[in-house]
Order: sequence, then structure tokens, then C-alpha cells
Amino acid sequence: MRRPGRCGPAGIAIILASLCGFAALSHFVNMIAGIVFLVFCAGFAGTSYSVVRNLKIAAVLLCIAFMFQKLLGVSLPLY
Amino acid sequence: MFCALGCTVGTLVGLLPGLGPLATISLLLPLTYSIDTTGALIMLAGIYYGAQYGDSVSAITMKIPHASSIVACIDGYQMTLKGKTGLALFTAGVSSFIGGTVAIVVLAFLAPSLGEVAFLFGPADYCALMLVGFVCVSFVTTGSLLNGLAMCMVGVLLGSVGTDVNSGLARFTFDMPFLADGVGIVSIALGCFGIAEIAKNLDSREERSPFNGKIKLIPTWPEFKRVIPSALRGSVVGSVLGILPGGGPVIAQFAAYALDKKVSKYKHEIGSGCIEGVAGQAAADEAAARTSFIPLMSIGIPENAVMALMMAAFIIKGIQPGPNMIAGHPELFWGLVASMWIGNCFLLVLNVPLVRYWLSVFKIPYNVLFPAILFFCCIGTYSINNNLYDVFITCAFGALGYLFMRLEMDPSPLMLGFILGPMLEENFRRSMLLSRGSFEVFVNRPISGTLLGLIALFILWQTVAFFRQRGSGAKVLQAEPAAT
Repeated sequence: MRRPGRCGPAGIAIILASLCGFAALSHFVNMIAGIVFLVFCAGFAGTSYSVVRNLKIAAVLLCIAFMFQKLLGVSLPLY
Repeated sequence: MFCALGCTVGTLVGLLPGLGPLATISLLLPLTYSIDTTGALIMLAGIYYGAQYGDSVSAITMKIPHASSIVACIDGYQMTLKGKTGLALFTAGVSSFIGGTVAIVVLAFLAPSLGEVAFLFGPADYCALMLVGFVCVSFVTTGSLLNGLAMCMVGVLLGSVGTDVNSGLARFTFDMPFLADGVGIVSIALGCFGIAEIAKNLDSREERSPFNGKIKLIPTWPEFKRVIPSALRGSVVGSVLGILPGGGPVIAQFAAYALDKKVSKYKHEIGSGCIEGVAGQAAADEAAARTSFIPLMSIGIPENAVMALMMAAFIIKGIQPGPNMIAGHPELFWGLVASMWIGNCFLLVLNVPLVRYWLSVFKIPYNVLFPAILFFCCIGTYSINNNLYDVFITCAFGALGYLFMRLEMDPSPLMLGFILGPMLEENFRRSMLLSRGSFEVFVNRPISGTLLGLIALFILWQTVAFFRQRGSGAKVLQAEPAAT
């Protein structure tokens, strides 16, 4: 007997929108805007939404992105 | 010191999706100018095999694979879902150590003679070897065989996207320039496994608690007895496939997994979170990473992109890898071999105690964790080619992976088809060119003839077994009404 899937399309749609938004904003504006959009948009797919939590996550991820750029030499168009 | 530095950097880099040893070695290559020859090469080698272990951590804990840890997603992640993450990571660490040790013995004693084995393989032999790989689909797939074959064919089709190397014609690119180089394996792996899994986790609305109270790291003696044969099998498979140009860790892990699924005493459990499913592929991955140095050092042929960078490092230091390298620079060869074993022990000491810290990732609430995973997926995908279109491709495969999940189709055979398809096509066309269109070349050559014979025997055996099973099933059905 086939087991029914438990996944709805809303979660994946939000995640894909956040990834596409990240790529588009990184291309047309810069990657900082892309990362902030990614966090705030993807947050809608979670079980709860908090602006403060998203701001904290975005700040930490931006720090990691700067570390990648400055320490590892990864070519990220952050600004 | 350079060995420890390389292993540490490699493990950390391996943890990040997309940022593999290739990117790290290319970034650190300029540093080798200021370091002495042996130290520089030991450090770069340490990054390579350190990253091979680091890869499996993200695959087992979060189902976010790299190219060389796709198979770890199958049983490793299933163990995570059963609350056995610690055991899976410990098994991966110990198996990697066993695989690395076996491969170092092979490298130390047989490197000069085994390097010549690669010369024996012509395009027709590689073609037959790739066909053996396709036979592995029946073992790798966890669902129905038909589904597995269909997914494998989708993988082959995806592998043909891009510019044809023989004619220079664009295939399935739809006039989109970013598809000219084809689709990246990391985009497919992150999309089909990683992003689809995030969507599933978010939608299930369940608390992820892989701890179940006590963290179990050390396997029990019966579990350990199950790990050893599987790790040894994986080590042999990885050591052999690592030597062949075009083989390497990616194919070795699939081959070891297929072998375990066929010969292991617990083969029926493999695919549903079985310890053998983690041990064999981890040992093969690590063994292949080390023996892939054999073609480079003994005949001067880099078998993959990482080895090509290692070759560049050798040349920067004024050393030409090839038949004369081992005799001309014995201190370098033996220094590298010794460093590999030291690195192997260092990785064990570094990674086994760190398993508890890797597990702390589950203490982070998933609402905080998943945007970070998406961020690492994006950065990892982008940093391979510095191309944002790769992120869009990952998105597309995320949607496809989600569809596969809804249809209960396992994406592992797709990855196998994607890896083997282009290699099969290239070697088939090369064989046809060399034989002037004669198919006899596949039968006349001893290696390809033997491999094709084995494939034919295997298919015949499977067909007979299928009909015998069907026949016995029909007899049981006929006997049941008679008994009632």
C-alpha cells in the first residue's frame, strides 16, 4: 500500500521563492540584500514568524558571508 | 603541522555544502609559493582527504550532500531520523580510518606497479566498466527497480546537457548560455536531496529530536562486528576504483554501497538506516581519495579536477609527476605517504570527539537552522563557478526533488546516471572512433570482454531468479485454495 506524502506545496514554494529572490537581488542589487531577503522570505515557511529572530539570523549570516569573503577569499558580490 | 592544518581546514570546508576541496585547494594554491615543497603538498593533500570526511557530516546530519557524500544521505540520514546520528557519524569516522589505512598500504607498496594498470584500460574497457556501474542501479535504488531505472535514465539525460566535447554542438541548452557547461552535480545534489528535505521537514510540523535522551556514539560489539567486513569491502572497492582515471570517490561510494547491498548479511536492512550502508561507502570514499594519488604520482595522469590542481602544485614546485617522480624524489613520495597515515590518525582523533559537537546542530531550533542551511546551499552553489544562474538551477532541482519525494521516487539512481552517463558516452564514442565503427572491440579486448560477460551472466542470473521466484509464488497461491 502506498504511504501518502505529508508535504504540502506551500513550504517548497516559499523556499524556492526565497532562493530565486536571493539570486535575483544578488544579481541586480548586491548579495547583502539577497541574504536579508532570503532570511525574511524563507521565515514564512517556518512554524512561526519573528522579525527580531530574522534580523539576528540575517546579521549572523552576513558576518559569515564577510568571513568567507575576507578570510577564505571566496568571491562574493556582497556590496 | 602542515598535515594537521590541512586536515582541519579540509574537515571544516567539507562541512559546508558546495565548498569542497576543489575550491579550497585552488584558493590556497598561491600560498604554496611561500611554503617548502613537502609541507605544501602535504597540506593540500590533507585538505583533500580531510574534506572527504567532513562531507559526510552534513550529509548524515542534515541530508545536505556534496558530490562525494551522496550515498551517505541514504542510510546515514535514515539513522539520523531513528535518533542514531552519533552512531552514524562514529561509524563514518572509524570506517574512513579503515579505508584510509588500507589505501595507504596499497599506495606505499603497490603505487609504481599499480599505476601501470591504468594504462591497460582503453576506452572500450572503460565503457564496459561504466556499464557495470549501470548494473549497480538495481542495488542502489531503494524503491522499485523500474523507478530506479527511470531515474537513472533521467540522470543520463541531464548529464548530456551542455556542449558536446566531440562536435562542439550545444545539446539541450535551449539557447541559454549558462547551460553551455552543463548542469553541476552540486546543484542537482543540493536540490534533489537538501532543499526537498528542508521542505519535507518544515511541512511535517514535527519536533526533530534525534537524541532520544542519551547520545549513543560507540557501537556495541555486535554492531562493530557488522562494521568491520563492510568497511574492509569498501576499502578494497575504493582502493581499486581510486586508481582508475575517471573513477574516484564518487563512483567508489556507489560501487561499495551496491556491493554491500548484494553480499552483506544484513542486505535487507540496507536503505532503511543500516550501519553497513554508512560504513562501506565511507571507507570506499576515503580509500579512493587516497589511491587517486597513484595515477598522478606513478604515471603523471590526474584522474579528477582536484588531482589536476595537485599536479599544478607539483609543477609549481618544479617537480614533474610521472614514472620518474618516485625514484627521483623519494623523500617527497614517502613524506606524503607518511603524512597520509598521520593525517588519517589525526582525522580520527579530531572527528570522533567532535561528533558530540556536530550533534549540537540539532539543539538549534529548526526555524533558525533552515534559513542558515539555505544560505550555505546558495553560497556553496554560487562559489563553484561564481555564477548566480547556478542558484536558479539548484532551485529548479529543488522543485524536481520535491516532486520526486511526493512520487516516492528515490533520487540516488539519478545521481548515478548523471555521473556515469557522460563518461559512458565519451568512452563509447572514443572506442567507436578508434575501432572505425566496429563493435567487435568490446568483445575482443580481454578486460571489456570479461566485464561484458559478467554483466550478461548477472542479467541472466537475475532473470532466472525472477522467474523462479514468480513460479514458487504461483505454486503457493495454487496450494492455498487446495488446503482450505
